[in-house]
Amino acid sequence: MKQIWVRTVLGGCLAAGLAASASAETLTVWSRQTEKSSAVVDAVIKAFTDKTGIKVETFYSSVDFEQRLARAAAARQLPNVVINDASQVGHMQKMGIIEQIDRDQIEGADKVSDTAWKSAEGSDGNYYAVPISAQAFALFVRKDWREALGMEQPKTWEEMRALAQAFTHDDPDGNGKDDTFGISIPASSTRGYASWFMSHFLWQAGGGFVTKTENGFLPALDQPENAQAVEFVRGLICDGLSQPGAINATTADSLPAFRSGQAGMLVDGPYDLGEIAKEPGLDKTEVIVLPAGPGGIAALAEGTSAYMLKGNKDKDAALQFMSFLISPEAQEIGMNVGSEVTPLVRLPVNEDIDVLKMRNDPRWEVYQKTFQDYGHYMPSVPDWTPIRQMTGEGFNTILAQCDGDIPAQLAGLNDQVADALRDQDVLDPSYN
Amino acid sequence: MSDAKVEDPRANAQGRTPKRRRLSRKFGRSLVPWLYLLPALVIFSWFKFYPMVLGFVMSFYDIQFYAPSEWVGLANFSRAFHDTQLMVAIGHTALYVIAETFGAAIVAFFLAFALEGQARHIRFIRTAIFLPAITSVAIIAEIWRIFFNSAQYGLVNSFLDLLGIPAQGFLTDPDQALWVLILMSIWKNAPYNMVIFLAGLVSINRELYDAADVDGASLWRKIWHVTLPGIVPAISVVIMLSFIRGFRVFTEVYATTGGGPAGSTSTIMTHIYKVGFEQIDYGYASAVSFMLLAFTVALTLLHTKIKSKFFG
Amino acid sequence: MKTSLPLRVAKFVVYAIILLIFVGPFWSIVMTAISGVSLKPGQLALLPQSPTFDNFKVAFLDMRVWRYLLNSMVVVSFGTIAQVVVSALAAYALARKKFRGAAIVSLLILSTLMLPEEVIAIPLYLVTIKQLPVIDTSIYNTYFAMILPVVGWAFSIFMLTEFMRAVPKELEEAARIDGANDWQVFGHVILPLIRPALGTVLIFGFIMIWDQYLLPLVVINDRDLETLPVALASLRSDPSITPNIIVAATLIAMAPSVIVYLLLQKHFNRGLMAGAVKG
Repeated sequence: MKQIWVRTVLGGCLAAGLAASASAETLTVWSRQTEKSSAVVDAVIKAFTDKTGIKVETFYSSVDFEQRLARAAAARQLPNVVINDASQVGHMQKMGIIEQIDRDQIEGADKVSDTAWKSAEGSDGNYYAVPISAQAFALFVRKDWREALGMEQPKTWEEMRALAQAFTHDDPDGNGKDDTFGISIPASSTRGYASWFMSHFLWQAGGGFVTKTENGFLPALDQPENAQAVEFVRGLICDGLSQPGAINATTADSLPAFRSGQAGMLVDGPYDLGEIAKEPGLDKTEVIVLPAGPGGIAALAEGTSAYMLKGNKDKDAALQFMSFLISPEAQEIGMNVGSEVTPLVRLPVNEDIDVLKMRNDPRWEVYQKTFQDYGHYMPSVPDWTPIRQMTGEGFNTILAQCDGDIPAQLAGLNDQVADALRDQDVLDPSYN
Repeated sequence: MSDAKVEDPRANAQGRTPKRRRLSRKFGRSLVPWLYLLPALVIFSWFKFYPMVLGFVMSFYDIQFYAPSEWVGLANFSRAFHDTQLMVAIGHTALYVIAETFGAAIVAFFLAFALEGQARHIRFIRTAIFLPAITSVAIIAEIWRIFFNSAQYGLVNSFLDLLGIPAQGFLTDPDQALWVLILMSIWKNAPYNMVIFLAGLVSINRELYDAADVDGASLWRKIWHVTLPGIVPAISVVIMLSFIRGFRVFTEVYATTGGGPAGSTSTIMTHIYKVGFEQIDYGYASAVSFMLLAFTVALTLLHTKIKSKFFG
Repeated sequence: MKTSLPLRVAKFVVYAIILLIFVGPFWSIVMTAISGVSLKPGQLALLPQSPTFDNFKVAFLDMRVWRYLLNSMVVVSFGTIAQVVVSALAAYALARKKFRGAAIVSLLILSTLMLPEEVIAIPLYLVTIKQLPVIDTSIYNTYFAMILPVVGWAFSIFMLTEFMRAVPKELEEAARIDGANDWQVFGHVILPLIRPALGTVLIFGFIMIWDQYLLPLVVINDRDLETLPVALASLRSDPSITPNIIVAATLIAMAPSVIVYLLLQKHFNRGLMAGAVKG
């Protein structure tokens, strides 16, 4: 009698539980967003819930995001989907917290350009994320300053330096004070900013961090092209053409330096267009393709991806969500046209969407063109984070020592990179 | 704290046989201290000791976050001895601790001299200059970044300009950055130390000064022979606190220079943070942290020994 | 007191310099917060430029600083009181009782001050997220997770231990002869005598809990429960928020510590002094 009673109650509970979980699926999504930019993600998610009935719980943070994931992994309390920088793919794969993605499982995967998919590739050639946004970097210039001094848009390093000199010394804002600088540079070693900033210039010089070979990677920082790039940037800092404190600056410092009229140039992505529109204003600024170095034009390409995390009980819902993110509907909402808030989708990855039609703005054309024609992703070594950290530290050191021997310093850094590649078992054995 | 509801421990024993009573009393007496300690021990075990043990265990593993972690024995510890960047960071930290300790002590000593007394305006100044000591480090770091900005129009640079000194790099100059951070730390801690020294000064027997005056001692000799010995206990407190604080200095550095420029301000903790937490290598971070813990505990014991040997 | 004029002038100059160095920076922070003009990085206002309280309004309402302030208040009020009570009890045992294991307990407690807290971030997270055996629930993502861990603070235990040791044995003995039990000695003899120390510990405890950054970061996963230091870090990482507003928010965050210090500073100064005399 008692047993039957127990069984009925238990069975009832189980059935109720099952029914509840079937009708009210809940997906947990984490994303690195600020208080403001999270509104855009919320809009996309609302559209998803309206369409599928799948409820989504969200958590946004702009500080400590990676650490939070690490802790959640340690407690097996990972969210179902994470929306974060595409460059995190190697790192998250190394932590072992993300699932491999089969392109066939993602509805509309064929609409996403191969270039974008490239950013979701792990070092083993498989995909570990779904790209949802792409972006490249371009040069913001204070148009009003440039025109006041009668200068041309810089097309080469030499012209860029000349413009920086003029901005620094010729009082471009006409306030009679010597308080302006050429270019705003984030050269701090924190989170590897210096490495991130130098990447454009290494490629523009015709160099790069590493070379991919058949048997792995070879460190390439000792190539003379890279020395040229470092010397050019060091000149900007050491000759006082960059904002004061550039050597300790992160992007949280370099953006305000440009916005406040302290510096007249800034290498930046399209995500800050809204902020720059507010101050100093779009009429006072212009966006141009990064000036060419001895090796031509080049810029860092980045993206944002959606990752499916391990321990997912309902993979189907997660895949549905990720498929939705690349759909034209979600991409359009994510672009957040007509608002100053940082969009989730910068350059859409869905080829059916024409960014130039949606955003009637020549600035976006520059970003689009740069991404398609001149974009370089960071090398796809298994885990770029330690190398970014190490080269960030290294470049910060070289840029801080105005009379250092650059080729020798780069050779030392190159050995460190080789060690890191060896640690990850991807160093080409031909390296001595 | 009200005592009205508290029962007399002896009340419980009433009605028991004398023998049991004596036993339970003895047992009770040895139990009493632990009863007072109980709340603290529960909280500490739960949120400090147990996490510390877990952390210590982690230092023997190559921590994997999803796959099982791999036991590596003492590898994390031995790796620390070959970590050249860690050695550099230890050098910076040692310099920082020593310079900051002495700097803050000396400045505090002068402040204590200048601000001794009970006059209203002096009490006001004493209260006011305590502001840095109660302000959080993150805010202070922000203030110093702005004041010691390397721009010509930076506040300190503008002041130097008045004196005819050219603009300095401060936090952006590898040769100056660590010293600016030391100065910042002195600024924050000197007022705190001052209060402790003031207490020491107050406690010095006035007759000793009078005796020194009779002997015709100079001001310097008075300071050396009367004042300093009188505030040795205060100095001892200041040094110990400063060492415990100084060796794990982190936020002060991370929020101002991030360990740069050119690694010139890297400290033990910024190094641990970068290797362990930004690159997510928790095993190594734990290992180095526990070595730092062992070192600080040893230093504290040594300090206590020296203090009790020389000053009773 | 008769002091010569040059000496008075010299004293005045010394006082002025001291105030300028230690308090001056805060002046310019306040001026920046009430300035309506946005400044270049590295600049602070020495005098208010087009003064306004808008920055405070934006910070308080639009940036929801009120919400984080409330959270901080809840955590700090319960945390500080519990911390002082727990520390006083523990200190009484360590200072006034002889028992086996006292030295090792002291050292264990003190050692928690010397371990960089970043190291126990993950273990602490695991501890809070685990289901507790009796109440069958986890304290993760609740106020409890921010309050309970700060209740145990070695610094306040040791501060109070030092002070309680300094209370003369005779006073305690006299009370016992009068028939006071242990608890009464604690409540009627020891505690009243160390009131300055309690004030000191209260201030330090308050500031320590108020400034907690890592703990709320680790144990909270809900923007609505975040405390001020975490929220301020988020604000700083948001490029769309101008420095004046951040400075205003920072000032709001600083105010409670300053108020508590001013209220308790009499106790505080006396407490520190008594402690130092003892060594």
